[in-house]
Amino acid sequence: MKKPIITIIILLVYIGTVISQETKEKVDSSVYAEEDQYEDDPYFWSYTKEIGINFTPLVSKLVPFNLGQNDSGLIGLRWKKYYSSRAFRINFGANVTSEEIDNGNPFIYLAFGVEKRYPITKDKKLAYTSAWDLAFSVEGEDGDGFFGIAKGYGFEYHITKRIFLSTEAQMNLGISSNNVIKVQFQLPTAVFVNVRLY
Amino acid sequence: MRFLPFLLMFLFTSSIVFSQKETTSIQSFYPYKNEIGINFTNVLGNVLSLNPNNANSPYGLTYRRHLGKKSFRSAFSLQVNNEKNRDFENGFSVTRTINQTTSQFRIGLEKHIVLNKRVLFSYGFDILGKVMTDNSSVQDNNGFGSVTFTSKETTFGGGAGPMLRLEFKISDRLFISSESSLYGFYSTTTENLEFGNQPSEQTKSSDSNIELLLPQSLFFNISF
Repeated sequence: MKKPIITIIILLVYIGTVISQETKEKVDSSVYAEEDQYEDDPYFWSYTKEIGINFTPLVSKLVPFNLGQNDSGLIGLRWKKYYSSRAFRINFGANVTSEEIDNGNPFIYLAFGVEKRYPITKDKKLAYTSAWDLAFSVEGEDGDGFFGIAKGYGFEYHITKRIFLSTEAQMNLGISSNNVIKVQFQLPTAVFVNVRLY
Repeated sequence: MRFLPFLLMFLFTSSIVFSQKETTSIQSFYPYKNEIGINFTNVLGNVLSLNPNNANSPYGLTYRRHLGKKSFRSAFSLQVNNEKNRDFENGFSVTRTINQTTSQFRIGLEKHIVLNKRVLFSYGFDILGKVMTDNSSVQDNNGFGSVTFTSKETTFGGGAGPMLRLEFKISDRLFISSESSLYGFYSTTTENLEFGNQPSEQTKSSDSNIELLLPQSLFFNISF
């Protein structure tokens, strides 16, 4: 009588462990399962959404050799929706506070555009982007406005498939509020930490 | 033998429970329910002689309560400044008193997305509040009598806005985080001026702001 009972106990414990292993694998894969679904697409970023946050103020604080005030640019947040190989993107930045108005530095920036990402390395960890934006901004105490197009070239490094760093240079061409044609080349000034969502 | 089914049931469930420890779900990212965060930016800057630019988040202390994939979040700061100076010159005296109190709070909800075993992305919405009092007086004793000027300033403010947050897990109990927010804020200030205990002037002003706050503070979070 004892032997069957011991066998049943061992069997039940074994089944329990196996079932829980499966459960564990399911939970484990739940984080990565979605990104694995996109392996067959042209790129691992195809059909994903991306949110980028300008981390320059924090990074500049923690880098020892940077002792000056930094200009982190007008763009604070970046949102992209990637289709097969191209993305629709929105760039946004704003600082309209009484303090900044007193200092003469308030601004609003908004841009919509399309982007394409090109892998540089085989593992696609390094990539560059090419984008066209329709940009609108108001800056300074006098409210100097700008409306025009911006051609952007960016550089990206993927730490993982879901987290990557990026920076971008832009050539702005448009009309300012004084009806003057404005051409401005904006060198890369900000480091963005981007998160990919599925 | 009567306890055999219970024993079997116990062994079966316990084997499932114990073997589910290593997961990358939100439950395994946050094994503890409560989290207190302390703004460590200035400490790092001062100790490691890093960038001296000290502009950072107004909130020094945060508390979060994890509720599965969502968390209740709050932050609080309090500043109290009391000063009294007395100057003597040619037998005259001037006494200046300043009492300032600023308290700011923020509450909200956030939702989490686990990016990998070490990194978590959160997005949410906050409601903000601010109460500030600034009472100052100057008492001028010029030998012929005493004259007192008093200013009482009270500010109430409120706002709201979305936020984004990145958190890095060092261990089950220790996390580093930074966040970005887009807050709209409105405040009203009432200032009463008194001259010799007689109200002489009252002014009211209001202020409205929209600010995209980029990540510039590093919080060390401890779970319990």
